Amino acid sequence: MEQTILQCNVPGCGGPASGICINGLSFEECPDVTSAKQGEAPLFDTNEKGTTDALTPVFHAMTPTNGAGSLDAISCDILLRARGGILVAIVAGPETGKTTLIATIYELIFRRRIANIKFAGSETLRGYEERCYLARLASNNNIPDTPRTRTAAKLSFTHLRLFTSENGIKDIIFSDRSGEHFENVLSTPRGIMNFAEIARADIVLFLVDLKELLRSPHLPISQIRRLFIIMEKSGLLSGKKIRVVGTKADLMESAERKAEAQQALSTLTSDLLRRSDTPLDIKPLLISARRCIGVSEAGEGIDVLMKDILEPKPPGTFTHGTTWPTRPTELDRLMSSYRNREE
Amino acid sequence: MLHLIIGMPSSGKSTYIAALRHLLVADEVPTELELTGLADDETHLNRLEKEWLACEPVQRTKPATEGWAQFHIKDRATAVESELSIPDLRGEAFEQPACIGQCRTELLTALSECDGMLLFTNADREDDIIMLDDLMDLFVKPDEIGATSANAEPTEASGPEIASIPATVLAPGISFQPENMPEEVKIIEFLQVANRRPRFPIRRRIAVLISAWDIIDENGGVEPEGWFSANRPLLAQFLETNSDIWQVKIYGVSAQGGRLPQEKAALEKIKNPSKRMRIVGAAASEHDLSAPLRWLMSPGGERNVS
Repeated sequence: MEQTILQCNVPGCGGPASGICINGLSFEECPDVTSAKQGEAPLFDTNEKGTTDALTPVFHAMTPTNGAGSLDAISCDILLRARGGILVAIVAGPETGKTTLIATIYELIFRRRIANIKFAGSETLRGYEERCYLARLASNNNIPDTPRTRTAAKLSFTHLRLFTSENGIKDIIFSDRSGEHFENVLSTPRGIMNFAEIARADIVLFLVDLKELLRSPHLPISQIRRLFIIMEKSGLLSGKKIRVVGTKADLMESAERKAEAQQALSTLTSDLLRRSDTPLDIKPLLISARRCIGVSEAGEGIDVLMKDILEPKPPGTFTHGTTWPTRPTELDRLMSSYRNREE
Repeated sequence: MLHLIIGMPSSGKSTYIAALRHLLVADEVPTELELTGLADDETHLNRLEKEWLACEPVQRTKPATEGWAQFHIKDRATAVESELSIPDLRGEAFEQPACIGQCRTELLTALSECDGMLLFTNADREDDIIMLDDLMDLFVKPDEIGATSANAEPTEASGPEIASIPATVLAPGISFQPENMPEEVKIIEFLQVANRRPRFPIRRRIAVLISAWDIIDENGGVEPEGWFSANRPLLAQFLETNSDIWQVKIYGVSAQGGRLPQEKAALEKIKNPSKRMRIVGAAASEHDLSAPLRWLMSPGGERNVS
């Protein structure tokens, strides 16, 4: 193999010597990597005593491994076509807890804290780690946090393969997009048809910030109501599980306050249901991604949500059509007797 | 046969190779494998064994000291002879799929073609997956839990409590760096690469070696399986739920025999260096570090995944 001496010009980046590029690029692509001839000083490995080892860094040919931080719409489509899976679309305004929900599901499964659900793989491990990082001690934070999804960020997806004893292994994909996108679509309702994840979703989660719902209910209710109407009238909710998920239950100061939030969420769910022209599988669900009062671990309600997501869809009912050819063939006549028998 | 030794930096890969080399050459304790000859180039193994025999910590593998260890060995039970090729690479090479989405081409080829793997995880390292939520009790009173969540306003009541948080926790936040991801995540991504398209899934054996086992099991009674399940939960679940692809055995290994430099003097007094090393789990005999390799080499197991 051809060996070239390469070095990185960015302070703090180990570069080719460490095997990791601080810019996340291959060393062939990274503009900060130069050959030793171009650089001012030759690069040597330094041992613990601070003296040079004269060990020549070696450039290795690299091959992409196709792992990703997040999936874009095309990659998600490819994955779903290849393996099938359950797509969970998350609908909510800014700072409602979309990313925190996704991150907490991963954290709980990581630590075996959801009974009977086991981790079997992920195509977006780095994406989950990025989302979880601020809630870990390693971040040096003193309170758990979640990075905010930027307005400019495009629709992305995270993927989990999960095992349950009832259903075996299932692929679950969660959509993640900026809350501002949902605010914008309220002004231009036709834009909802560009929300690919909702059209393809098996489950739609409407997230409501419970603290806002109790403090000043009119605005969040109005927003969710309008989002629901836009989707329902566009035929995007038909045949899907819909869950109205109250987030941040951990911020309820008392059990009474939590019960109040539960009641407000149920009322909102009933309100949405009566606006639908067709029967819908819609339920309220209260969750807390962080720790609640009187609860020893984070993630109250998330186990219920996950079981709901993983529960197999009941088989659809099949009925014969009522149309009949005006000029029946021999086969039609033959089949008609069977049809009459079933009816 | 091609077997890979994989593990993150400082997980004990080179120390194991050094101890194994001595074990097979010295032939002082009962082993399942025996050495039948030396490789054409023994430089790398000689350097490793020299450090190990001197009871010095085996130096971290550097770019220029990476090498392929080759062992000409025979299974004592079946008399089958094999040439084992094991790459002794720096741990950083195994991080790259998770951190930068790329892998050294030569390593990726070896990964695709390998028959089995020895996977190392060091028991003597800091827990890298602690959630802040799990430490809340240290920082705030139980009745304040919840009020300190991400979007809550800081309360006056929480002030004095937060002041007692160790400085390291109160230090300014560190931004996400892929190389700081938990060890388990990096290993899982590496293992997923082995079966990810365009590669075809193959059933492989994987021997998980928990290094520095002497620290975990000072008083005995700890089983490697139980420790692994409790302390490497994501990796344990991954291997368990993908049992159609990964056939797993778990061992606890102490290739040095104790902590260095603290126990150097005691280790040097052991007359038979092969007795320094210890292995537990999967019915391996006390000092036989070749047992995991023998299991990887043994017949049985369909490679094709149904």
